[in-house]
This record gives sequence, structure tokens and C-alpha cells, in this order.
Amino acid sequence: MTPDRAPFGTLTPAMTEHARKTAEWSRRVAVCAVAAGVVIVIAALAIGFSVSSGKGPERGLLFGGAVLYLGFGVLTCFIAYLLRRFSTSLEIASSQKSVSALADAFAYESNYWRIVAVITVLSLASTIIGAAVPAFRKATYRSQHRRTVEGIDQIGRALEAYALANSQYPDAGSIDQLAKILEPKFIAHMPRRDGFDRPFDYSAICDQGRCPEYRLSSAGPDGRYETEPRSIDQFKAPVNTGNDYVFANGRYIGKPAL
Amino acid sequence: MSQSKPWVQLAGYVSLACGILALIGAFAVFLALDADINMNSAILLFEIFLACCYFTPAIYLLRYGQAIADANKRPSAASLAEALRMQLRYWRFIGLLLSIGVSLAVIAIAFAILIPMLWRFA
Repeated sequence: MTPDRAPFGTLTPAMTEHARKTAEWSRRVAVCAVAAGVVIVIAALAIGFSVSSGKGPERGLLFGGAVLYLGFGVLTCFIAYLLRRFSTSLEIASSQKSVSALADAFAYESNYWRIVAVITVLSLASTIIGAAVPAFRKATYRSQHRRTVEGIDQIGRALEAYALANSQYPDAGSIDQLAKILEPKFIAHMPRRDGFDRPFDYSAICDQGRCPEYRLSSAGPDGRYETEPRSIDQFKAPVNTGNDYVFANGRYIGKPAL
Repeated sequence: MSQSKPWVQLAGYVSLACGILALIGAFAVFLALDADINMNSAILLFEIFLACCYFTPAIYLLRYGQAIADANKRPSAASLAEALRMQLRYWRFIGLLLSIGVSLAVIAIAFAILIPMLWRFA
């Protein structure tokens, strides 16, 4: 409602009283908002500085969070500014009984609501992202784990079929050599790479031209072998294989938990 | 004032939705946790309190939005006074809620700083 459209020149006593009280409460809200904004900005800067010196895959996510928090903090401070202007305009409107000052107050309030809408959207987006990212990572890991286990199982079955036919395991020094031996008779298409898109490792223990034992392994999600893939003494004894998938002589010696 | 109306109503509906979600969350938590009935009841009560914190301003905002609409449709001193009254009720509630919240936060921060210090000196 603009002043020229208003059906009255000055504010009534009831309006003046409402405007004065609203000014008081909105000023208190402004003080709280500026305090919250400053705390959020300080927290965001602290997270940003601590992340900037660190390393690791979480760094990008934390840095993004810090930037988001900084945005929240700045927007909250801006809200505090708008509320302060809103309360000042209301104070003027109540003291001077001025309709134009009341119109100014409503204009500041309108801007306040717009910023609140932006903050609400940002909050919802950050909540959804915060909930979705870990779930997405977990789902991705589950899929990679499943594909790795399936690949090892397929190769394991082909190796057992080869062993049944030849009374020993294939004498191969790499996964590509193994594939050449097993394809296409024992397996149509042998998987060479694990679910994390890294090559499997195959080694056979051979003695006097016979290979009675083998070991098939994947470095797992971190891409680094915690156990020595060619270590002979780890073929039979159960060991803590960390993130490695280790399959030897038809059974798992170790694999990471899902 | 007419520019504020859609935003006020949007905020009111969002607040209402948050209140409903808080209530659904409260009952979901109550049904999902089967450990300690006292703990579950405490969580349920807290979530219901949280839902009330959303519902009350939502009602004020929707009534404020309606009052703005009425004032725009039938401009009069009474309709504007009613809009200002609804505006006051919303800001008074938010002001009270924030004052209590900030006071509790200050007390919590003071305790968080003081208790480890006292523990160290004891």
C-alpha cells in the first residue's frame, strides 16, 4: 500500500502502538541476527583456514561447506541490516505518525522476506546435499565392492575349472597372461579390472613345473596394497588384509567390510 | 505492503511444512528407537516443542499474509491496523524465541568453557 493510495493521512493510535512495539521486537531480532551472522562467519573462516592446510578427499567437501557457511553468515548479517532499517522506519512511522515512513518499513520488510527465502532455499539445499553425499558415497562403494567380489568369484570359478582339467593352477605372472590362458575355454570374458577400475593381481606358486597354489588380489578402494600381493607366507594363514581383497586357493583370506 | 504478501505467505507455508516434518520425524524416532522409553519420550517431547516453534510463526505469518491481502482489497484504517497487529504478533513471537534461544546458547557456551576449567583446577 503506497502512501498516495492510503485512505488516511496519518496513522491511528492503534497503528502507532503496533508499529512502535514491532520496531522494538524487530530491533531485538536484528541484534540476535547480527550476533548469529558474526558467529557463523567466524566458524566458516575457522573451518576454511583449518581445511586449507589439510589434505585428503574430504578437503573439497569441507571447503565447500565453509564457503556455504560464509554465505549464510553474510546473508544473516545483511538480514540484520535490513531489520535494523525496518525497525528504524517503524520507529519514525510511530513517532511522526507518518504513512510514508510505514511504506518504507514495509519495503525493507519485503526485502527481508526475499533474503529469508534465499536462506531457506540454501538451507534446504545444504541439508539435502549433506544427506545425499554420504549416501551416494556409500552406494558407490557398495557397487564397487559388489563388482570386485563378482569379478574375483568369476575368476575363481574359472581357475577351479582349469585346475580340474589340468590338476594345477595356471602359471601366469599377470592378470593379462591369466586371461590368455583361461579365455575362452574356462571363461568367455575374464574381468581384468576390479570394481575400483584397477587391475587384479594374480600370482601362482610353482614348484618343479607344477603350480598347486595361487593368489588373486585387488588393492581395494584406496588403490594401495596393505599386504604384499606376492608374499608366499600369506597364501594360507588368515591375515588382516586391510582394504585388500585377497582370494587364494578357492577361498577369501580377507576382504574389507561392506 | 503488497510486495511482502507473497513472501510472507511463502514463509508461512514453509514454516508449516517444517512443523509437519518435525512431527513426522518425532513419531518416526519414537517408533524406531526401542531402547529407553524415557529417552524416547524426551526426544518426542523435544520434537513436538520444535514443531510448535514452527507451527506458531506459521499461523502468525499466514494470518499476517491474509491481513495484508484484506488491506489491499479493502484499504481502510481498520484493515491496515489489523495487518500491523498481525505483524506485531509475529515479530513478538520471533523476538521472544530468539531472546530465549540466545540466552540459552550464551549459558551453554559459558558452561562449556567454565566446566573444563573448573575440572582442571579441582
